[in-house]
Amino acid sequence: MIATLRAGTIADLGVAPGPAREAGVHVSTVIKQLCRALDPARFSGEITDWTRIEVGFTVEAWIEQAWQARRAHTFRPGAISKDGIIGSPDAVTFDGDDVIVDEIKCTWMSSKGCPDEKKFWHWLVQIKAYCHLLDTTRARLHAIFMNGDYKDHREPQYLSWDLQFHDGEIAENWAMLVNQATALRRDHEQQAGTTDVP
Amino acid sequence: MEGISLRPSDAQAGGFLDDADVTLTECRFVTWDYMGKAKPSVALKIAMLDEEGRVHDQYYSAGDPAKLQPSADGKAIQGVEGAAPGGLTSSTNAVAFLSALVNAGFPEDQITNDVSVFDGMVVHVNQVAQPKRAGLKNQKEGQTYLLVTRIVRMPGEAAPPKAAKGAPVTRPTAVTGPRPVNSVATPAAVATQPAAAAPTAVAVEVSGDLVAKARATVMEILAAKGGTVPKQRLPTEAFRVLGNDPDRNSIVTLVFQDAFLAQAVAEGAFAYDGTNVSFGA
Repeated sequence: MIATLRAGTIADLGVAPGPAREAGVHVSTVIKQLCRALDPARFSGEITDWTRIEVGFTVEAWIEQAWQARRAHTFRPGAISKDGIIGSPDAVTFDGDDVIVDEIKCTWMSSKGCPDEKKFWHWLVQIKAYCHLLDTTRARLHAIFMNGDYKDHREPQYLSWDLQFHDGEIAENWAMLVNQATALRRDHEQQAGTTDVP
Repeated sequence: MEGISLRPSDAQAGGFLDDADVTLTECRFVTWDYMGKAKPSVALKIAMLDEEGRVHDQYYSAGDPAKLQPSADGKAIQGVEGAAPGGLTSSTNAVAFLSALVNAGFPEDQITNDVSVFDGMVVHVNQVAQPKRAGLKNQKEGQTYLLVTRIVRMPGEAAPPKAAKGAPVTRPTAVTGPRPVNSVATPAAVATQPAAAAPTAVAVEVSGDLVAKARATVMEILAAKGGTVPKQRLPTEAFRVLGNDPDRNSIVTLVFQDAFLAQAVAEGAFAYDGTNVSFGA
């Protein structure tokens, strides 16, 4: 046998192409900006580990496809916007008269403390934002922890939570994002203005 | 004198740290007396820099100073003259640390006798239960030590992927195809976006046919519900009404949009009092 290592990456498999995104301020962009301001050591810097990103994306896409095929009351909505902020929830489930936001995460973080610990704060900000966009207070977090909790479980671990927020939490969270989005736009405008100056 | 092999297969304490990514800024052998609490022993001292910029010195016992001594630069340990030759004792914490590194993927053939080969590595560390050791006195229950559980970056490897640690997965920026559904914007909000422009508006396109079909769906729901439906329930009702319609997902997404409703109200298709949607005037 002659085995020749190919110069490919997981992205070359083309399993899970990134969906196009509408122009505008996205929930994820606003949250990223917030996280960079609050915890620059953790959230600044460029992502170079694209294999993880692609693996995460692939896992999410597989779950979405499985749901599409088997769960009649779940679907992936397109982008939804309010107050000029756009969000793209992974899925929505209709449970009786209730709307449930489904958020899928694939992570190399430890599962310890999820979802209450502060390292998961940005997940909850995102989920609450989607709740606002979909006018609901219910959500489900589906998380695959690739290395479990690094202690008792070192194998991939799937955990899922039902989340019930109260209206105040959702509104407060959205107000924070709207404020941050306003600051983001202002920065953009200032940068554009600076560029125009000869 | 040649340094002693650090290979785990040759083999015969700092601030509390757990479940964290750290940089191994300096790995050296030292003589260590547990801050005066025990008789001196040879230890592997690892300076770990955490993500908050704090340095944690961790000490891993390596052996008896009667048999081993750190080299002058601390990068190796050497056998004391007259002592029996060999590698590190397999039951020491230093070997546990080195073994964990190898188990995490550090190539063993890159380990010789110079412990500074690990300088600059970025690793994930966790507190791990220490095994009970035969013949060791005063062992306490539930003792742990900090071991490498994953290699984040090898020494000399390029730019740290800081955002990858713990960050939720985000999409690559490459755009490879249209989404099946776009959001709708009010006429005032639709704008042509110049490249790298300020992200102020939602620039989207939804076909007029789809908007018309979505409005017809809402009308059907209103008719079935006596003319009024809470706005919050419209998407659920639309999802039910549309059943296996191929446009179901696109229409339900549209119905979720405030802008869809605002436009319909502006054009007199429906009325909306802030809570309920009803037939327009």
